[in-house]
Amino acid sequence: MVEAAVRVGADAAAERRDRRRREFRQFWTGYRSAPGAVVGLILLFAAILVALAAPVLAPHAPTVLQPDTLQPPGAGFLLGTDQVGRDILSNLIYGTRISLVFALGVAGVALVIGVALGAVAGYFGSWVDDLASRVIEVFLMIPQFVLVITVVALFGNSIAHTIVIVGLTIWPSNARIMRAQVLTLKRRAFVRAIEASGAGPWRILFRHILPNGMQPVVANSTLQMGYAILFEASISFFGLGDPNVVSWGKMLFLANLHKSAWWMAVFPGICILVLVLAFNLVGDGINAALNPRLRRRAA
Amino acid sequence: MLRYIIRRLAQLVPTILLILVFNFLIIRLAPGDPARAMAGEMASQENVEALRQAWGLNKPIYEQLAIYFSRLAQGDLGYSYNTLTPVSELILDRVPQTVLLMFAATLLSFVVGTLIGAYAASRYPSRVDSVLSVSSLVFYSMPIFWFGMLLIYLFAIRLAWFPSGGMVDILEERHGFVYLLDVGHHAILPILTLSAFNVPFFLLISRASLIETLREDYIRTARCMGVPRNRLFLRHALPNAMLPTITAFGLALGFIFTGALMTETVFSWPGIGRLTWEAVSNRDYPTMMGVFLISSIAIVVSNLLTDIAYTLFDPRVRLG
Repeated sequence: MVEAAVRVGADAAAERRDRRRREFRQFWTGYRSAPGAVVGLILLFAAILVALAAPVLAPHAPTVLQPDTLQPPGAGFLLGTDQVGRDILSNLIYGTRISLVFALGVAGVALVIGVALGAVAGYFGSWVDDLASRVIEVFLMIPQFVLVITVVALFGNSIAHTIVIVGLTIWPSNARIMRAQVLTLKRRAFVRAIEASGAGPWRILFRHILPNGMQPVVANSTLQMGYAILFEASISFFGLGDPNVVSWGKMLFLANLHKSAWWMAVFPGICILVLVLAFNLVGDGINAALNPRLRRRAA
Repeated sequence: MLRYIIRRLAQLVPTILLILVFNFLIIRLAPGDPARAMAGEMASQENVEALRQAWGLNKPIYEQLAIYFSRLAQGDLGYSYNTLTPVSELILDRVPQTVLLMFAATLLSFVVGTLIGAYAASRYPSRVDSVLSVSSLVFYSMPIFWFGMLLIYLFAIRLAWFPSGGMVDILEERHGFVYLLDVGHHAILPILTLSAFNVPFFLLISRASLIETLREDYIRTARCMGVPRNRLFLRHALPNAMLPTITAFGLALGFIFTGALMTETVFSWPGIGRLTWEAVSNRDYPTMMGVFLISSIAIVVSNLLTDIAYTLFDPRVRLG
């Protein structure tokens, strides 16, 4: 008896494993069909590795001032030095950490607010939805960058502040997607069944509906991470970067003050471009995997 | 049609009110004394007190809101403590330069981007199409001001073909046609910079829209009826696929004041973007709030105009 039960349990587990594997393979086929999606994933992993191994990889300590200021790229300093003699390459390597933290932080803040608001609006409907939808609509229309620089200038420009402020500005797209997801999911039979079993509305919403509606939000979050890095660059370029942090955007801000030192501008820009592109390619890949209409790509 | 426009205008009222209240709250919620923030760090105690009186900053918040609205109704956006002029004047002074730059760049990008996007869609799926869409993603992923910096280094500093900034040559006064030529000469690099971002934007939208349209049943029907390939593409698919790009054009025009923020900063173009940069460097909050307000309103209005244009272009949209 016991043996039989164990076997049945093992079979069920194996079946579940098989299904998960099948689902993953299906997802991967869709993902791969988007041009450049695999390259994006590789670039993203490379950036994470560089961020983790920064102390090992950096040839110099990033904040140490070398006697050679404004050195062009050469043997001593592979990518040159800046106006006070900091090694550009080492700062780029350490800057990867700032960029990734910024991207994850902003996307995280935007995810929590967007998902919570969108889900509540979609599930409870009536005046809750009217109010939330109007707020979402207004936030979608305001010029985000002007709002961010005004608030950063007024409230202080530490990197933690800036992460929260950008996150608080770009959440509406998440909310709109989540609201639409909940609107379709709440009519599905499995939700009806849980409702009939007597579960409360909050439990149904956050335990059963949300996990099933997250996928497109995750794809959007990936795109937002790239967007966040561009935001950081622009904020720093406006002179509103955290004074205690050397980020890629801050490096571009300094480069603009020393226009003839091309190496100060070229390399940080390439880093930003590559990381943002990686997030965009991965986001497009996830979208392609989730959206079967885009899946039939031959290229 | 008129009823539709009136209804849409009525819908705008709460949106604009929310934006105004938001604008009102930001400076009052910030840490520190709002009167001090509006007067500037260097202002005398009397100046701060005068501002506190004028805007009722020691009164309850709802009275402050009433004062704020009545001042706005008179076009009073406060004083810039950097230049000691009314913010509304400062902004109006800069509007034409920004509109000129942005309108030229957006129109150019719209035409070029839509055409290349249509070409990419006509070759879909192929290697050409993949290369075009991935390279627009590359342009889309770069900080636009960085591209401007590279252009300045290459074409202004190295090759000296174009000036590195400004709108006119300040060393020599010009008039008439020569003046316009000079402005054009100064505008080429900024327009190129803006296009580097906007062309991919329109390209990706027109491409996606055309690919979607080419999958529609009516296109398949037309193909089965033996409509030639070119006619099918140009006559049947293209007009319908253009609708989302028209929407995108309208939305892009909404960013006429803020879209050039970074570009104007890099090229010292004397428009709203440069004004914003100057305001941020001087912590000139009244000017920053003013820019935020008029750029929000520009977006709201252009959204409305886009919706109205849409109903004119697409007879399927019901005005119920």
